[in-house]
Amino acid sequence: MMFKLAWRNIWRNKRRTIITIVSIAFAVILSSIMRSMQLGSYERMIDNSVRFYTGYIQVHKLGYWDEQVLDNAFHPPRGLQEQIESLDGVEAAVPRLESFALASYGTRTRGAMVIGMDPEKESYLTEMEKKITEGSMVGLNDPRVLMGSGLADYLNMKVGDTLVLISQGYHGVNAAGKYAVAGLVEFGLPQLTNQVVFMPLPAAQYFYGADGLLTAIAVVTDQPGYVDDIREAILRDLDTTASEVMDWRTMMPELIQGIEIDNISGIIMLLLLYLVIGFGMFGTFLMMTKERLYEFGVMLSVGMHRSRLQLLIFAEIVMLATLAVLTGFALSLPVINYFSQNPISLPDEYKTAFEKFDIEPIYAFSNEPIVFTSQAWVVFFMALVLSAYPLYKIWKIDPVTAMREGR
Amino acid sequence: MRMMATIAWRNVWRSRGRSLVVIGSIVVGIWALIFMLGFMNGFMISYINGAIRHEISHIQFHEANFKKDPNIGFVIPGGMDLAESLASDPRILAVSPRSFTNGMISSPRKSSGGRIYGIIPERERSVTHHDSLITEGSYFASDLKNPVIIGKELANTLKVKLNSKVVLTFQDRENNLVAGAFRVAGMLETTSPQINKASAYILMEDLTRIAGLKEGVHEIALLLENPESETVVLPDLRAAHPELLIESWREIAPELELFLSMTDSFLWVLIGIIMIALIFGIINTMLMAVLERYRELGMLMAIGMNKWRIFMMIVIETIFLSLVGGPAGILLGLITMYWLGIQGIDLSAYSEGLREFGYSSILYPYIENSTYVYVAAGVIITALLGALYPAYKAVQLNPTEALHTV
Amino acid sequence: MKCTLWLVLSLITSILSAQDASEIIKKVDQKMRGNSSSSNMTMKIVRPDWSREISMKGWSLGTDFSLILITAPARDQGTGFLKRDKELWNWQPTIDRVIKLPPSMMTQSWMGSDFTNDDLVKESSIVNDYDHFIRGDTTITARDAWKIELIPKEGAPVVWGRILIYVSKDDYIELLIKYYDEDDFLINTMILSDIREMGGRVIPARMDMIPAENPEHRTVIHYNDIRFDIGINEDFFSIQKMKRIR
Repeated sequence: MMFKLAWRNIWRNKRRTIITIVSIAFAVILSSIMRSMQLGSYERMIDNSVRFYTGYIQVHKLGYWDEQVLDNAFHPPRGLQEQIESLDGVEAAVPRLESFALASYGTRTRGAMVIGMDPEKESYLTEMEKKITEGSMVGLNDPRVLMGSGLADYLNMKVGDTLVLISQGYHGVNAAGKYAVAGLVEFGLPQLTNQVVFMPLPAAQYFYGADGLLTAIAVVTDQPGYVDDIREAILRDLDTTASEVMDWRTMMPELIQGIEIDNISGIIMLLLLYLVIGFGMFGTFLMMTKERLYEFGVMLSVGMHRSRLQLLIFAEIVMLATLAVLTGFALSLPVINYFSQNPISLPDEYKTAFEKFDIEPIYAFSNEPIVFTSQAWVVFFMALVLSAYPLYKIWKIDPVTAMREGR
Repeated sequence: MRMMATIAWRNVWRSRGRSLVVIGSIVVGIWALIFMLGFMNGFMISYINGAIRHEISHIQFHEANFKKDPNIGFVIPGGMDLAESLASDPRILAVSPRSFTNGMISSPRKSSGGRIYGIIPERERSVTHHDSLITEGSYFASDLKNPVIIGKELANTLKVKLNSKVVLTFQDRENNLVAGAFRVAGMLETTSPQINKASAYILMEDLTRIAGLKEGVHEIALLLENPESETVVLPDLRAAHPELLIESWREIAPELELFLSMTDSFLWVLIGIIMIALIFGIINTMLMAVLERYRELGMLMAIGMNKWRIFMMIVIETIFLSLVGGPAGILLGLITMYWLGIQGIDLSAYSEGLREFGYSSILYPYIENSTYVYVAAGVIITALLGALYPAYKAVQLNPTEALHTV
Repeated sequence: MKCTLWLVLSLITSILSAQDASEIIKKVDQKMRGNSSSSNMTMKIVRPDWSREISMKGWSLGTDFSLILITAPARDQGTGFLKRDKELWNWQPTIDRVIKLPPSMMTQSWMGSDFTNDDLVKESSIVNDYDHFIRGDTTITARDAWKIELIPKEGAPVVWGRILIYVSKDDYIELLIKYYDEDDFLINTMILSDIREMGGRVIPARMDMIPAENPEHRTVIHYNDIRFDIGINEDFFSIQKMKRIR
């Protein structure tokens, strides 16, 4: 019965109700947008960092991550690559054989990092073709290599020159080879650009005397939310006495810390927003109370118990809040979804700093459900808490004064 | 007009509750923005300053070829004299000339590649303040011969401790191998992974002696008295020494610039969102107020106040509210910033991650004086804009209808 | 410390009575000075999961010059290492390149063994970089030996805290060498055994290098044959020679 009354009360004064609903719904929308942008920026941060080099997940021989030497390479179990690629959400399973070598041209030498890779798969991870500044891509069975432009610069090399690589191979065999440079690549990370040599996997395996061996299989996904599921799926069929699976959290713990720090400031910003929103909502409730003082006075003097009146008003607010929050939720969904597919570009003055590092200069939006649900709940509870004011007022007023004041 | 103002003023104080809410919104809006700006500023400054103060300094000099090819032969000609003359420039706070080469640092158990710096301790400490970051041992204060200071992480990798012996191997200008034994005199922990994991500091005289160089200044790092003066000092220095490579921290560490850009660009968005929230809060409150004042407004219109005046009245009311709320907000903001500027915000619960990234765990919010004015102006304008729609709604009223409202 | 690889290739038959430690060490070292040799060796690298055998030919002159040519297995065949004083060059025939080893490679293991490239160049340092002390007498595999302790001189660019060398009294052969860090942890042990006559001298034909932290790892060098005083001089040890020698 109470609810029917409350409901009717709400719609009795449409204007007031609409204003209140709009105020609360807007609070939900704004805070959802803010949180979405914050989480979006973290997702971008992770994606950018992960795609520089490690991928979201890696499979290695047990112990490789702690001691990253060529002797800890492994023969991937049969069909592992295909199995991983068949999993939901996996874009590619990228095989790699990496180690160090002395790179030389003429009289100059420098330490280099050789990454033996499958060009087609690698493009899912590091997007190498886009980073080629001169020359062209290599094929899987190409005898040629790609070099970081920084390394080529130091050695005074250009496309077409022949690079000499000398190293120690698997189990210490002699590794020496000459490779024509097919192209130069440039990455946002100078450390990479100054050191890296990308070699087709078969050539690398031959160079290091590591036939059929890999140091890692890196897994790329375009759905970061799936990472844990993918990892578990891989673990299920893997022999864990011989191999290990790790995700980016283990491989790049600094990234987690970096995000934590950002999150701290993010939460503080959110709290400030709640403060401002809360005040706005409070203002609405205050005004609503004032406006209905007369009405309250009448009801009390007619004999309604204060507690019943409080319950009635509380029911009204709960309904209003629910309606409003759901509206806000419903409205924020399409808006945020739109922006998460079509991110906003950064203003020009910031672009150069980003592009130097190969990071897309955009405002990213996250459409993880938690963005919406968490904000909806917070605002809902804020409304409930703020309802304390009207309830308090009801408790305190003298009906006669109320009727007089309300006039 | 004066009468309008008087009426508006009295209206404001007649309805204390409503007025306080609007004033409150303005104060909260201003305070929130000031706090946010101060906080983010503090964040950025802490990070950048950490890097500048302990790692890259404001400006660095190198011989033109040195960055591309760090051969120990590429010294800055007359390096020590140059360092002296720079030190006497009043715009420059401190100067540190260094020798530098890449090499291997070896212990009985392990070897690791790294950067080897030959420094002059009194000079170096005035620029990088590494003496304040020593965790064990001392900053070249003991009598140890051939002392070396390495990062704590490097010490762990090499499995050495204080007073352990390490051998530094590098190449002289003819690329012949030279080496020397050094003793760990101190361990360093900075905010830079590069320094912690792969750098060793020895005395300049030891490095040049082993390398067989007479004079070997490869790098001069300096701190400016006033960081802002970089825009003036840098071109001056470049004009005076065209043959050398002179770079500012922005060029040496573009990731700092990236960080600034990232934080800045986001900040603007956040400010926008809070402003929007503010404006909506005010619109809603004022709308409710108009609703509440239905009867009163209707009566005013009935007795002849024209619509334009009613509109203005509401606007003037808002102006008054802003004039109260504005200064109050600024004052509150000032007090908060002042207090926090001394106290700092303690973020040490997250301190490990922070230090890894170059923040000290206590954050000192910071804000320029002009910002207070901008924020207040912005919020007040927002409040006024927020009042426009409700004022408009007010004049849409039908007096007769209003009078009949209960 | 690779002093032994070259050191033990020669013998003195001189008899000295009262000697101090430095003299003993000098004698051990001096067996090499002015003596040249050429040899055939096999090196076996032993690990828990795998092992590898490498055959090589070596030439040496004193402790400052040496040349090594790898003859087996196929992948390594033809590669050469030339040491001149403190510098080390590597010849790669498959790509027709000679490189001088930079510091970063010097500290890496030599051909995957338990010796580092650095060890190859550092032998003569046992005389100059250390102070020597006789610490006692003992018996090793039925041979009387001095226990000599080597303490690095101040400033000497060697990582060891101290080295113990057990030298046989009869023929000044090193029988056992132990390498310690400054906290007195044993880092490496070298055992010289299979002492017999080769090329006219009595030398240990087998050397085992065992890293203390990985006792299942070891590197074993066997001398298959050796000749002394073959009449070569410094000119022999050149880059051109390294490229041409078979």
